[in-house]
Amino acid sequence: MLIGADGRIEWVGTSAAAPRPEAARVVELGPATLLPGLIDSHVHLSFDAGPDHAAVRAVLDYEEQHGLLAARALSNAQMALLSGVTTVRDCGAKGLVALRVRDAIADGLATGPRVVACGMPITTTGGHLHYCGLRADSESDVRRSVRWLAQAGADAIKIVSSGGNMTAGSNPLLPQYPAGVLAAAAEEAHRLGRRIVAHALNARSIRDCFEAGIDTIDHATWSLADGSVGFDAALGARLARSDTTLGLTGSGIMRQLLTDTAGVQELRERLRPHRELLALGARVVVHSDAGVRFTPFDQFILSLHVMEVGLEAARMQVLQSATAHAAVALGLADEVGTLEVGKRADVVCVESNPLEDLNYLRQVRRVWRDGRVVVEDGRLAAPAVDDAR
Amino acid sequence: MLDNPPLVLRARRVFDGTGAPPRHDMAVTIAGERIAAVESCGPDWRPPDQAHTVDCGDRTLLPGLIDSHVHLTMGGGATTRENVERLQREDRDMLVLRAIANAQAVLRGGVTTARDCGGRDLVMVAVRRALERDLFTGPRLLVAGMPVTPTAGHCFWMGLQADTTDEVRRTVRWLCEQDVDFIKVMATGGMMTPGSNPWMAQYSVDDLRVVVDEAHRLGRHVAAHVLSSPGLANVLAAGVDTVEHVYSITGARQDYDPSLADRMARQGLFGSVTAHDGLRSLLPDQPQGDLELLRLRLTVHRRLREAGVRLLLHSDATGPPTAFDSFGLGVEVLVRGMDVPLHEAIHACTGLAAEALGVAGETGSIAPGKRADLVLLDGDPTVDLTAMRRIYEVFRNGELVVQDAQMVPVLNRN
Repeated sequence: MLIGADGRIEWVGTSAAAPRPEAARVVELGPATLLPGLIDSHVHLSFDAGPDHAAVRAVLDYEEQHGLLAARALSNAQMALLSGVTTVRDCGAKGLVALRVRDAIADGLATGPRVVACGMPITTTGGHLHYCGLRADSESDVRRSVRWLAQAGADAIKIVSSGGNMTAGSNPLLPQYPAGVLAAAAEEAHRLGRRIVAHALNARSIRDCFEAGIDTIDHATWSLADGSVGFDAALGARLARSDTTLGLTGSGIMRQLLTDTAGVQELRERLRPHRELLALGARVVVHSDAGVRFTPFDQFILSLHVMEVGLEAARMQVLQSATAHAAVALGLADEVGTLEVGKRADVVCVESNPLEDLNYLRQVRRVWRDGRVVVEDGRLAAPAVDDAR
Repeated sequence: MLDNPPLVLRARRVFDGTGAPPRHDMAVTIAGERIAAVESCGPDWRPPDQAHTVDCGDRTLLPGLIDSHVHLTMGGGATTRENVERLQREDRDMLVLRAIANAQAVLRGGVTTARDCGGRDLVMVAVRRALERDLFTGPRLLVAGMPVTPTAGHCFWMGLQADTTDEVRRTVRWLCEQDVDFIKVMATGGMMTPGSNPWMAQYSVDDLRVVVDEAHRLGRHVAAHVLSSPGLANVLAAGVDTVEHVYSITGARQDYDPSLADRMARQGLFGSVTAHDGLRSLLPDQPQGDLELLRLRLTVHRRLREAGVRLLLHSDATGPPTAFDSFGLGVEVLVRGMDVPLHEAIHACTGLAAEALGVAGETGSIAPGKRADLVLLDGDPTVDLTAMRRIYEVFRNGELVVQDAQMVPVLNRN
């Protein structure tokens, strides 16, 4: 692979055929495997991955009050980078802290992954994630919120279409917004050149999001009114034919199901909708939801295991989900996600072939971002902007 | 850390931070966060059982350096003017991130203890808390929060102004309530705040006494910004702990008063020399190097030393042109510009600084019981002084935190 001075891939192929420009420096990696930097398309950088929902929320409030959130969010982002994740999408933080972390990394002040930041999630008063700070109840409030987030510099829009388990008092089994309001949010986001991602747990919310033109429907646990897992094959087929992305959440509680056969059975039952969607050819993108309870930022590999085991998916499918497909979902397909000419050189070097065992992704030897070594043997490189004389 | 086997650094040269000349062929044993032993490596020396011994070769071991005056929330602009504007514009989270970046640059420069002499609002208190919670790897931080200054006074734009005696008293109490580590007071105007008049005192002796009495009552030391004799006279009368700058080194007027220098020496006040870019850039091997001018700029500080004043060294770093990661250049400034012997110049930013900052029980020297805050220089500064710029490794609390100018983070410690 030849990486240009602009940090993009100029050539990929066999060593024997490689061009050898005179100025090029050759890095010999031996029998290692290179793959595109992983993309974790749904994280919460300002959350601390504590032991339960109430604790995570209490720490969030405390750290915001004491000015600690920026340090928390940067630390989390760096943990992700150390584990080979070169792009994260922050799907909702308290205040605008994820935007600041994005800027600090982009400006070369800190070493970290590429951050796609949604800013605050749009939710209802008392709705899921209301404590992040942005409440919008009417259609016009929602439109204004999308505009406000775009003005503040958000890269994408996150809307909370159903209640969530993390927010006591919100109802995960029912929609928070009527379909028309979701459509208004999608319309505003698209007008302003932003993708829109929705939190959606129940069957009605998933349908509403799809009809509203939401780009990514995350979690998509397809809960029915009685809490059981339902799946609508007709809607699934329409989703599969569309450009909509379905997010698969490999968070801590899902990861824990990997440990025994009963757990695996439950995991497969819970992820039945995603397996059906994958079989139908839908774009299913695995994410960690890192920051929520039990979900630290350096364990994205376990989320990939959740997909591999829970969906009985081929390892190549899992890797594509967390790279190429995630890049498409984030609107970054021209930039990252594959090791192809013209893409940014976001590359992970591991010791052994992860197609034999995804655990090999744990042995990250080196990580490049935009062609620059940012991680080597567990060390984080100093930031790119060197203020030395 | 405590479960790790002891680490023994075998070094050909060790400056122990006490102001003594370098000791040769030494073994420094690190157990957990602290230094367990410092001993000569005679022919019969054997490493302790189960210790991991590293031969430092021709590298030179120093205590972690102490920069007693930085401004970590600043930087990002091309000029000091831009840095000041940016400080006022950026929001809290951005300033926290900037300060973390700067703190890590400071650490890469071999500084394991930094005293922040003023930032915007209470950002530095938040940054120190983040450090205490292991949210980032950085130097030990002592923070003033905001400096105490009058309306229109030096650094008023950091967010705090106190004019009357009552306001000054309440301000010191409030800062302590907000959990600052020490009090910074602006006794004269300053260069970074046009119109604040560096050549006159900003506070009366009575007001400064209130600052000192309240700070000492609450267990905090007081650092005073002073650029000229009227301010120096007042802080001497009030009895502050460290006198920052003492006199201007910019080539502007210096109203040096020998009787004040004598009094300062008698009272045992620490003076602190500002080796910022204006002096660093005059080092002979720099593009604008001019040794003669460097020595001229430091004339009064040389006289302070001759008068017996105990001098510390600081960078006053606010970002380029005074970079955060180049503290070692200041040691070269003292040696070249003031004829200070190398071991004394190192003392000014290790053992002596630890004493002045009230952290001598923890850091500042290589001695058993102290925290293992250490710097390994790539080379021998007694032969080539520029080795002071080549920071190879940095240990803080016994942990390797910088190697080859790269951060070495510890995983999963949150």
